[in-house]
Amino acid sequence: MPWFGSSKSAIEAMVEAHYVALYRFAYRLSGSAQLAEDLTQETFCLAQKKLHQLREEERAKSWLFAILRNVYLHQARSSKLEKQVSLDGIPEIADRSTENGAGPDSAQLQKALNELPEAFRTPLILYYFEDFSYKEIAEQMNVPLGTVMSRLARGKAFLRQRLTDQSDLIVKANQGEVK
Amino acid sequence: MMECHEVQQLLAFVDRKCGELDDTEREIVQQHLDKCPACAELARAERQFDALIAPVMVDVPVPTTLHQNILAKLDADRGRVPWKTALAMAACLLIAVTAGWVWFQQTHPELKSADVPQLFFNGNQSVESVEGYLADRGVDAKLPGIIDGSLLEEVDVVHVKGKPVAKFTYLRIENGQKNKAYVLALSPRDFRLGELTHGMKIANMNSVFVHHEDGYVFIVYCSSLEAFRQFLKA
Repeated sequence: MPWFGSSKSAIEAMVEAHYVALYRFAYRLSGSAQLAEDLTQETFCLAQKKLHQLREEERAKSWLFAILRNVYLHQARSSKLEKQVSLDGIPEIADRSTENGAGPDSAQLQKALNELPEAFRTPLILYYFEDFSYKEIAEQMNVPLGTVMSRLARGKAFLRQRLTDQSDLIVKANQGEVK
Repeated sequence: MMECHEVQQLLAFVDRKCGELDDTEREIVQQHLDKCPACAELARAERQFDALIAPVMVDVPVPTTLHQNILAKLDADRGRVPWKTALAMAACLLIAVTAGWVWFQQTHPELKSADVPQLFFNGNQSVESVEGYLADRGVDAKLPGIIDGSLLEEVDVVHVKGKPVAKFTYLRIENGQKNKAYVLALSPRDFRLGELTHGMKIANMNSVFVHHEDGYVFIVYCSSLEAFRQFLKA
């Protein structure tokens, strides 16, 4: 039994509530608008089929994100999209001395994200979305909390290094006034 | 007093909207940051970097048609049978059709000319050919020796207590009038004699007699005993 109303109205309520966040996650995960739309649609189709498995309404969002990530990983494995970049050279505590207060644009950020392995990219995206606690991220990824924290630290360090190294960073005129 | 490495671990939690630190823990971290310039600088840099990245991370334009496209896909998907289910249904259908076909073949054997029973005999049939015909059909029988074999018109197989039994039909025509006598030949291989003794007349039945010959029991049906005598060998 679905957790509220008919399965049709339940899934449509879920779409209404979560499709924007899911699409944004899918976009940052895949780096492509077309893939992101396909992933979002496929996620809701799977959710429609498996709706009976969802017992707690408040876990719907986390459940949908986990489905989307699984769909992405499945597709990535099939098409060998996923890269295996080593983060061995990236420390958890990054050198912050080179920061100049400049921020990347969306494309620059995406380019850096695309270079990260999915295991580091997902916690990073979810961290900045601020939709889930670390515990929920750990549950979604089915890894211990400590692993999430470690990957997040190294992912952020990688991001910091990549974005700082880029010569075309736009230095914000109003440095220090970032909200 | 909290150590620097402990505070640095908690920094990742401090500014989270999800409320991963309670007010007391937040206060302890803040007290440390107020007194420790190194950690304060670390926290400042961390916050600055997050403040740069967070708005860009969520800055993803969402296609205006996405919502409608999702609902349309869901509608289309509702009517679609998953391929695993479709495969299972097809397999079940194939099994059912195959089973039905096998059942039909077994319960409805194909008719061939060789299957047509040879029911009519004339007086020229030898005793051996009649008894051979019955033996071929799994029936142990012999023709009663006391009856004129030339009057044999028809041989048939009936069932008594589930066992096949030969039924002989004799025809005698005298002055244009037809008389028939029917005889069942019960084999000692299949039956015990029981109460059917030689010469007895079956009670409550008209003109049914019992005849024993060579271990076989013959049940004779005729219009009367007098009429039956006309079928006996001269």
